[in-house]
Amino acid sequence: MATEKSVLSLLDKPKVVGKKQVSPRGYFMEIYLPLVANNAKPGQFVTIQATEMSARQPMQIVDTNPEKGTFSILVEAYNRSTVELVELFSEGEELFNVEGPNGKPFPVEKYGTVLLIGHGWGAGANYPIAKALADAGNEVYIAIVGGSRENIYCESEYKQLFGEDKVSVYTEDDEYGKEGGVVQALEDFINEKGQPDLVVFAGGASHGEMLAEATKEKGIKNLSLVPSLMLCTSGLCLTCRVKVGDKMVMNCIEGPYLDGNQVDWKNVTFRTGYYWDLEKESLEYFLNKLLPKLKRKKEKKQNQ
Amino acid sequence: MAIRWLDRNETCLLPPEVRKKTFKEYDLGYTINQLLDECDRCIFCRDYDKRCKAGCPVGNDIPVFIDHVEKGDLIGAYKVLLKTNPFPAITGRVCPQERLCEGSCILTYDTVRKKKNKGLAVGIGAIERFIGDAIRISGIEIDEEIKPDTGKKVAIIGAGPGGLTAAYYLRKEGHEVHVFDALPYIGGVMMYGIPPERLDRSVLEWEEKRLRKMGIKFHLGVLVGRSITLYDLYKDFDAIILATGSGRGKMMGIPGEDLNGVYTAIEFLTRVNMMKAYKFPESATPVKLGKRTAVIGGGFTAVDCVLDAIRLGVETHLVYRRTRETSSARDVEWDHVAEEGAILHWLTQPIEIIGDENGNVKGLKCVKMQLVEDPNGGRPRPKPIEGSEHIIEVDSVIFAVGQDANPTAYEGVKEIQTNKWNNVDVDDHFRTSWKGVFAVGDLVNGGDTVVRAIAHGRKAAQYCHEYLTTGEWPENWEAHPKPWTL
Ligand SMILES: Cc1cc2nc3c(=O)[nH]c(=O)nc-3n(C[C@H](O)[C@H](O)[C@H](O)COP(=O)(O)OP(=O)(O)OC[C@H]3O[C@@H](n4cnc5c(N)ncnc54)[C@H](O)[C@@H]3O)c2cc1C
Ligand code: SF4
Ligand code: FES
Repeated sequence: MATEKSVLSLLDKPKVVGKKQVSPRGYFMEIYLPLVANNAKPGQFVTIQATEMSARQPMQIVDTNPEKGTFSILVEAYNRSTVELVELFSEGEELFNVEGPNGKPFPVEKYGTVLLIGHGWGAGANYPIAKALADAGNEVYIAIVGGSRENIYCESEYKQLFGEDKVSVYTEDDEYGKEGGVVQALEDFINEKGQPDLVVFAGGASHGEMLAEATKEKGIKNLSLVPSLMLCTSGLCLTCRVKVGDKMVMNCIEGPYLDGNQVDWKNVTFRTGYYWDLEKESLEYFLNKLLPKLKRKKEKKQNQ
Repeated sequence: MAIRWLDRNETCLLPPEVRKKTFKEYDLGYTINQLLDECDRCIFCRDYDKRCKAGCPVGNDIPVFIDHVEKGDLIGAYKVLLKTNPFPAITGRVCPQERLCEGSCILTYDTVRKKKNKGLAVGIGAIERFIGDAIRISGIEIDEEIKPDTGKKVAIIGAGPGGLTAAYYLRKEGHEVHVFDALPYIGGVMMYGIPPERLDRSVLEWEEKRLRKMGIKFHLGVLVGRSITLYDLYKDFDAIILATGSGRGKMMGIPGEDLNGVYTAIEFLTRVNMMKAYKFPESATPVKLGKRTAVIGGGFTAVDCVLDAIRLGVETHLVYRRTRETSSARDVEWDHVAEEGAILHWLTQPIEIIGDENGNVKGLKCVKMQLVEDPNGGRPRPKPIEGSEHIIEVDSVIFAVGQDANPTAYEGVKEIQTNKWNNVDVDDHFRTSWKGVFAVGDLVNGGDTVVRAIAHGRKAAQYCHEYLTTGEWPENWEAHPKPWTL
């Protein structure tokens, strides 16, 4: 976490500097914020509050470019916060607030053979960890899993880095790659190469839950990103509390990668669903009421 | 002239039916005529430094500013306040004055003879608030005298009242001041905790503008301990002031805390007050209490949760294991929330949160308590009454049962000595065990008041300024044994 550059030279206002659509809902966004670009360690995230009225949305840091002072995130636009990001922001526009880097860095050590399984946006989340684990001398394999083809991310990036043979792709609807989900990816791997020393997972909680059942049963070490609800992301509010074994852990400051075999996934899945009805309402309100208004405002401004 | 013992001016409140539907401030403060009439009640005690001033943690020169008001000089009154307190419009609203300055006003209590008097205190809080508000809405910009640049840089961590006050007084001495906070807004608890119906956010916004105009730099969205470390700051700054509060939410450890619909007070208040969930869906952050909620606790924070919950249109139960008289919130506040329709359950101890088949809260199981004498002569203790178990049917539960230390900024920094509550040890000059690092506010005493944090901030700024000027630091640093008395 310590940096060579002075803290003051890294502080600036966060600004979107690039946006690239890679699938119907998937976007890579590049954000200028030197503090994050310089200090982020693999596994850390940022909290983005895009506008004054937006919620605080945690987003994993996928890549950093310290020279440019930028970092990138993978946005799968499915809720109000993520849709706001891709709909309202393009190059050069300032974000209301970005906090970070947040969370504990991933424990980069020599584990041996590591299988990193990313579901949907989780493939992006695992990307910097895969690189760091490989640099630390681990034998790294990647499984990219998605509901269907449009949820497969970072395939070419991973292949370029690790080679075709280290990367496998799965879709649950068998539209692309091999058929199956996160557990299938693990089982195929074991059949071909034997039991890995570590499984790293990122993605939705229900997939994390299924995978953890398998790793627990097989006795494989599992470090999983826990996508709990978060609010303050600074260790105050306990919104992010997760049961890990018999301990209560604050995911925002102790996570987001926790001991997947010990996490009470049922509770995570269940608690992350608490606001689903309100989230739907919020997204609809944004799309039908706010967005047209904001677009008109923007056009007016541009015409002037 | 006859002493006006009892005819104290009370501020005007919005009627309960109106105020329970709005997040606007319900205490409207004094009118100008009330202000002048109330100032007239002050008898200008010559030994006021042993009375109202001594009761005020920042030591405001109360009769001095009252005198300025009487002479028709609000700006002068404001300037008197600024010497001891940069935020009179805030403290005038949120201080528990009846325990502080007003509790030591001679009309109600003779602090010298230590005996009760027959009258009601001068309305010091409302006067102070008026002065702050008058300047705020006058459009007059008071020029702050700032000494020439010293070339010294100070990092302040935490933008709550303690940090902001230290920033104000250090900047006035000519130092370059940078305030860091994890959250996107300044104010600390005053922003995410204290609800807008008690402290209008326009007040905070105005204070922020003042501070920025003085040249104080804010860096919001920086979590010290994660985004950067204390060591990074130590390298780049000449001094550091830790003002990170002690605000981590807390629960009781009873069964059912992992059900859906269970909130800590801090989560609930942050959603509503900072993230404006009361404007949902325009504001994107939701809050979901269902039709009925139970707030557990008996202090400041519990009252604030009740105020917010009622304003969200939810049937609100307050559950506290002691009595109203032994709760730490003010009596009038319970009257206010009761008028707004809160249902108050005294001597009631929650023992379990009951969930339905989907894991959502459906009730709070409680036992009734009775107060029994403490054999050691302490506060009477609540004891469960056998067979008194009952369930209060609610859809959500909010724990307002105190806060824990929030050590993220200094965890693992071995140079900084902490105490058994994980708060930071300081000596009588607010110095920590690490040269050049000071600490103020809730972080030092585990949780007190806004005005106490302001007092710390001002004193620490003075000591920090001395350190920056002389470079002197004690050889044998020793922790103050009773930090809560600082
Ligand atoms: C709900 C509630 C109501 C209250 N009502 C009143 C009242 O009416 N009157 C009254 O006098 N007192 C009241 N209090 C108490 C009062 O708010 C506190 O005593 C006071 O705010 C303490 O000030 P502080 O500056 O020490 O810290 P805080 O106000 O707690 O501010 C600390 C700041 O530090 C930031 N921070 C923490 N850790 C880090 C980190 N690692 N990196 C960066 N930033 C960090 C936080 O985000 C926060 O902004 C209330 C408290 C609560 C919880
Ligand atoms: S103690 Fe009361 S009457 Fe005396 S100076 Fe202070 S405010 Fe005025
Ligand atoms: S999100 Fe608030 S404590 Fe983790």
